[in-house]
Order: sequence, then structure tokens, then C-alpha cells
Amino acid sequence: MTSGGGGAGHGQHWDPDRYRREAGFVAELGRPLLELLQPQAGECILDLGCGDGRLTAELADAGADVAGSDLSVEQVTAARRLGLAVCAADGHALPFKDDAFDAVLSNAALHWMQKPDAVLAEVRRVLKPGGRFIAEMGGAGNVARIVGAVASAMAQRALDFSAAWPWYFPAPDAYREKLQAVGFTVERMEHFPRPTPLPADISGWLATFAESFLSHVPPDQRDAFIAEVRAALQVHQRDESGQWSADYVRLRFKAVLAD
Amino acid sequence: MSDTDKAGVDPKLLEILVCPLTKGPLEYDAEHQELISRQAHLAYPIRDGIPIMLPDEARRLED
Repeated sequence: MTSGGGGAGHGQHWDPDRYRREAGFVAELGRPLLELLQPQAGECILDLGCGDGRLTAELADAGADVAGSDLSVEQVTAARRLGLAVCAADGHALPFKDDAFDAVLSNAALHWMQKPDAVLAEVRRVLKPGGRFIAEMGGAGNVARIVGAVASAMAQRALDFSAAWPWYFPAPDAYREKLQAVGFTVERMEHFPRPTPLPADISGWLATFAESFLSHVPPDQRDAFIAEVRAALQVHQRDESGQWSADYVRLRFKAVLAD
Repeated sequence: MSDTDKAGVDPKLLEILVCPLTKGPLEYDAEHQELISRQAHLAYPIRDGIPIMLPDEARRLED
């Protein structure tokens, strides 16, 4: 859900109240991961990038022994309030023993971690032999229209778009290779568009998820910037009834280690 | 991992935590609510039952 690290310096912050309001869909849409994971009672499972812990809590309800980690102290504080065992940690440098977990789950978090090889080496390290790694993240082409509108609005102001880029949205083949390189067998790899209705306006999405771009825009120009992006996106991202959506493209996979 | 001790830290979580830099063991200082990595010379704070395992947030130990 929220960042696991590396992108820490990208000016993205997480406000748990705003996240619940603008990003409640994130945990809802993470449910198919639980079906892929099939958590068993008593298994030790890490929720990597657990955010506010909503999906983590469902794992705990399934009887698993769950730990959550997230780079955002604000978000893990919200997760702790749900009674979950969580810590603040960077996905590139996990604070867990070798072979600590039967499975690692990650929902909508890996795309915030910009050094995937380091992250995958860590996931592999903390998993037991035979361990499973099940995740969903932004894949190649994720939010391409939204990002295109942001890029144009930044270009018009001579702002450096690529320096503000906070994500890693891999193509399935590239990510499969990375998983295999650290010893995983990839059992499932899906790359699919999932247009996602937003609870409010695209402005709310931008404020929640695109802070790393907005932080490059001078404060007195931000309202105009957002209005411009909104106007550019209206045709494709808002339907006749006024419902906004984000052009999500996801990568969902299940990978396992040899026994 | 939902049981909490008096300080609010989950004991099962404490069992599996290591220093994120060295992957070495941590000493739990219950009084000061810190997790100490001797190898890294860092003390990671525990705030409201949440271990903050981020080197940037850790206290540097005097030798």
C-alpha cells in the first residue's frame, strides 16, 4: 500500500486519514491476493508495505501469525491501532532474521521501491525454503494517462518530470527474470488493466499518490497545476455521470522458492 | 503476533527482528524502549509499541 523505501526521498508522505478516504479501494482490491496466498493458520507471514494494515488484519483474521512493515511511520501507527505487530522498515533493508517467514505478501507497495533487485534479495532472504511471495503492484503502463497529463503540465513550467518520478512499474517479463534471478519459480504472472473508480475527484488521487510531482511545483502554482491536469484528464478519466477513475495497470504474481 | 507486553511491543515480533544494516542481533532495552545493534552502533527507537527500524531515525551509540 505504501512505500517500502528507497523512494523515501521523493517527497511522498502518507496521511492516514486522507489515505482511508482516498485510497480505501487499495485494500478492497487486494483481496484476490489472499486467494492466491491461501494463508494457513499458524503460518508466519510478512505484509511488506502494509500501509494502514487493512489487508494485514484480514491475514491475521485467517489465523496467520502476521507481521507488517512499512516505510511510513504514520501508516504503521494506524496499523498498530488495529492491534497488528508492525514495524517501520525499508523494503530494501528488512529488519528480519533469515528464514523468518513462510510467505511474504505485498499489495500496491513494491512499485514505490525503486531498487527491485535489493528488495527481491531481501524477500528471498527472509523467506524459508519453499516460501511463497505473492504480490500485486503497478505494472508497465500503470496510470499512463494521468502521468502523461502531469508530465505535460510540468513541461510547460520547465519542471524536471523524470527527477520527480517515484515509481517502478515493470513489464511482466522483466520482473519474472528478476524473480528467477534470485531463485524464485514464477507460478503466476498476470499483467492486466484495471480501471479503478475513485472515491472523489482526480485531485484527491493526485494529492494522495502524486505528491512527489506536486512537491516540485511552486506552492502558489499548485492549484492551477492541478486544475490543468484535471481538465486534461476529464475526457478519458471521467464518465458521463461524473465518476472519475484511474487508469491502473497491475502486475500480480505468485512466486515460490524451492524446498 | 497480536499479544503485547507491558511496553506494547509484540514479543513475537521482537524475536524475529534484526538490525536492518548488519542483520545482526538486537538487544532490547525495555527501560529506554530501544533496540540496540552493537555491530552498527545504533539504537533503534520503539515508539508506541512500534519498532522504528530505520537507520536515519536511530540514535548513534557512543563508543
